[in-house]
Amino acid sequence: MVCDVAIRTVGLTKYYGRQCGIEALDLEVPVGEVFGFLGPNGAGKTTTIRMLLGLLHPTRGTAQLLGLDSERAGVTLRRRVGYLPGELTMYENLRGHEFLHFMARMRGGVPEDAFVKLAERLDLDLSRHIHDLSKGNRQKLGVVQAFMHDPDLLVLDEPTSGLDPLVQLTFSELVREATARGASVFLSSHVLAEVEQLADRVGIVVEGHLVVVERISTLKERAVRRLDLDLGRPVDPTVFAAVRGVKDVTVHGDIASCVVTGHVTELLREAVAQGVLNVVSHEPDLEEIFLGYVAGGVDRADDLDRQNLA
Amino acid sequence: MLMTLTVKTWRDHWRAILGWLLGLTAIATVQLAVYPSVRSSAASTSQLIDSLPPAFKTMFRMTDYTSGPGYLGAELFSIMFPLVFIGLGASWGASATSVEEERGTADLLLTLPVSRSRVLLAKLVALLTAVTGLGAVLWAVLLVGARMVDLRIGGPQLAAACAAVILLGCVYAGVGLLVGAVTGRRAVALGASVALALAAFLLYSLGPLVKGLQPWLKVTPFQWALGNDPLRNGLAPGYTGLLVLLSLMLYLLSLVAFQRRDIGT
Repeated sequence: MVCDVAIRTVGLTKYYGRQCGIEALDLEVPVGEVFGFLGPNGAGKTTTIRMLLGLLHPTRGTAQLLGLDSERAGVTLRRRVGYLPGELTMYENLRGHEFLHFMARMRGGVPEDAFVKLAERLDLDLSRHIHDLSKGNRQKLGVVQAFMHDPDLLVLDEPTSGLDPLVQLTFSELVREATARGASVFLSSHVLAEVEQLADRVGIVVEGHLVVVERISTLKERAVRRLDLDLGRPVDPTVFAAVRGVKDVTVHGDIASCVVTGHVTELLREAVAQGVLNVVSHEPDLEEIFLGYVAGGVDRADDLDRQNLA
Repeated sequence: MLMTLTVKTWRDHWRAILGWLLGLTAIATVQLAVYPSVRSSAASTSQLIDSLPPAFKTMFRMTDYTSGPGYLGAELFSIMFPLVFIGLGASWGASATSVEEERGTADLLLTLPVSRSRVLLAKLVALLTAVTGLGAVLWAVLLVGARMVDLRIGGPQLAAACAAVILLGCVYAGVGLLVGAVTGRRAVALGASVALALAAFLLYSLGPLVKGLQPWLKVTPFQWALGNDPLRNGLAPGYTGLLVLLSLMLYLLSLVAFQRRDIGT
């Protein structure tokens, strides 16, 4: 069956307990895309992912993965999906290779070669017991089990948490190789930095609602980030306030802080002219991005409508 | 795939299984070793038993203490083995799915291309084979041991008594499994199954003594399993069928409940 949509949710809703869950999620991820699913902790990302994988039953609405209903076609569907949970727990009493052998057999047989090669690329020692592994090594093991059967769809919840930068590069390679062979990737995170290198588009979910779906390049242009400039001497705040895209300039001693929307080129040019010694850039806050989006004159409802039509 | 998970479940429990194997063998051996001296002092033992309050004798089913079936019944099959097998069944049943959920390993296990029903079945098969295996070993140990100390007991009757305690284990495994599948909590599942087992046990023990309780005896699985005195008369087909049916119903309900459950973090 040919299907060009990797993930499609229609009115997907989950209420439970006191947590907010997710409400009326309409989402479409075409095959071959890397989709970043962003939101602050507790916004409903994990709830959504757990519904996609059939761990939670939706209160309302439907989710289709690779053209198959997540509730009805569970087994056939999950054969083609690789999943890395956000809170990764594996069988502590097993060694790495025992765990992967178990997972491989439960998947109906994945050649040992496949996971041994992946482990080598990630520099992971499979002979050790899982309870002896560091957080980073556990995460590597999680990545291996998610990728080892060459799935058509990868659902990865905060995949690079605990991975050192070098391993993150290998991880990025794995994601690119997967999309190169036609797989789709659903990447969830609470930080923009984790997905911005890889994602084609991102959706931002805040308090159970999908508020923005946008190409990553567009989003970054509108992203609001806070910069601290160490100039070695007190300067007049108006020098920076005049730069396009810059606002909220404050000076404390030698440090000038400001908020920049989009690219920082012009601000840095001015900073260099002022003899800047050091720059500290704070990770853009997702809610700020979203608020910046609304403040930026983009009508939210309008934008969502456009998404739905697309 | 079903087998893979069953084997893994055995492996996860091998220490407990081995421990119980040794423990049950030891208990059976000790009890059998004492039997010759009980028999040789049959007259005085009978006197001692006769002097016990009738209520006590009824409660512990102490009739004809010095005969083979009487001795095994009073010492092992009236309280000890039923409670051991119920404990085993209840605790394994209660942890079958709930431990995976509580530890968080259910996330990976249940997103594999295996249905929840098959996961639960694989765990159930592991549990039932372990309980049955222990019962079979117990039967073999008692059979051989009885010959060695010249305790007169029929092979089929001994098998029936072992089957009765196995069946009791299977019933309360079903209770644990069901509550575990509904709540996802091991402590709740274990508590519920042990509480129900104790209630049934009290009813079974006190039933013969209290007039008002007697009609209720018929509804305890203990009575179904042991009421026919399997060491002498074998299993009562009707009540045995009831035990099997009740177990199957509990397993079936567990499958449905587990299918519907939202797997939490």
